[in-house]
Amino acid sequence: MLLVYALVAGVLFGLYFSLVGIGLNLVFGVMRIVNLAHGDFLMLGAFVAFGVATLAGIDPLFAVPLAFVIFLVVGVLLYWVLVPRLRGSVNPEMLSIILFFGLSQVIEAVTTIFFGTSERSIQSRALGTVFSTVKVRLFGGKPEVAGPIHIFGQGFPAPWVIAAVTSLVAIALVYLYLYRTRLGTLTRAVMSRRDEALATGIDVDRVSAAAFGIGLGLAAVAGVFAPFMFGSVTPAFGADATVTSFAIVVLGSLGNPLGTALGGVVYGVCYMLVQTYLSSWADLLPYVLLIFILLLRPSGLLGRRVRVA
Amino acid sequence: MPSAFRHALFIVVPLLAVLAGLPGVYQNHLLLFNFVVATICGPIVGVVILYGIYNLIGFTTPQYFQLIYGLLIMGLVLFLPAGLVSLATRRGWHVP
Repeated sequence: MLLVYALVAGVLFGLYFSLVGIGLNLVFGVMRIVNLAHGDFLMLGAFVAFGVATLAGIDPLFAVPLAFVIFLVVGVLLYWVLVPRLRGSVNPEMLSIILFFGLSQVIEAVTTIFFGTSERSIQSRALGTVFSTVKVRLFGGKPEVAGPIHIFGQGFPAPWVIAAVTSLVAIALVYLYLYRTRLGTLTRAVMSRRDEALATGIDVDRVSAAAFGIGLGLAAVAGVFAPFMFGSVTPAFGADATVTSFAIVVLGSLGNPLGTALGGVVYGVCYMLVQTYLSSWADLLPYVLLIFILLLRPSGLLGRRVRVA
Repeated sequence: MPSAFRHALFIVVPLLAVLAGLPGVYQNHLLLFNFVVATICGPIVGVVILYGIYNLIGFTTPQYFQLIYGLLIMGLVLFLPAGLVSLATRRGWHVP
């Protein structure tokens, strides 16, 4: 029973972890730029959720579209401020690591200055209250407190399931964007061969700006659920989240956003198995997984070729 | 802290830091200050500036140190990617 619990919880967490990593991978795949501030945007997404839950007093689920739109705009603006200067430099990939490291320091410092270092959490029953309200409006009956959701005879906290379902929807939307829209097709063209895309007349900057904005938006959406998945969030949470998302992205394969979905699920199942059977070792997991995957399959689980960069 | 002692620290700590390696995360990022232009003075200048700021405000208000540190990094990467020492070498001054 413990094993079933660990596996199902692992898949739920894994779907969520896919959402955590997919934005980073999209940004890397399109721009060949390493966004070391990814985890900090995730942390800012969590603060959007705090704002929505405490100031407005409504379901934190409403923070999902809000965070996505805010950070989509922030990402596009940030792209136009930072990246053209970076492109002109000698070694854009190396400098991008340092630049975004600086950005992550700035974000963490500013968040600490404004919100302090205390651990913040949201009551887990606040998430998903919109569903029970709608149910009461439509079908009548009494509002009930959402209990654990049962899967295979095991009870799981409702926020885990909601986060997993939202992640599935988000990944499906990324898939639709990449394979069914015109901008997505252009994005894939830039991903596979940047020079040729430029030569065929694709506006690479516009495509990259869109991908950067979407990447940050997805990070912020993942951040909305972070207080529920990890219990609480501080401004220092960003650095850990960056490491975790790097492990997930490398596990899937760098530069292939849909590989991240697989990487996330594998990571989630490993995470839950380690949490269940060797809980004191849990913090080591991202690093150990990174070392093993880099030793055994440097191109990632789905990678066809080793990344040249 | 007496000010003489403080000034001594201001000079000694960077030197020790160069010899022994800085603690924690700041260790790896000093290369920033002599980025590309490989000089001996680069890391020393970097350490003096960074540890100077750290000694002034790093203990009392670490978040403001972090903010300055991050802004410094971003500014250097965007506007002076070859590092502070490149200001001198660009003018043709010889820097060891």
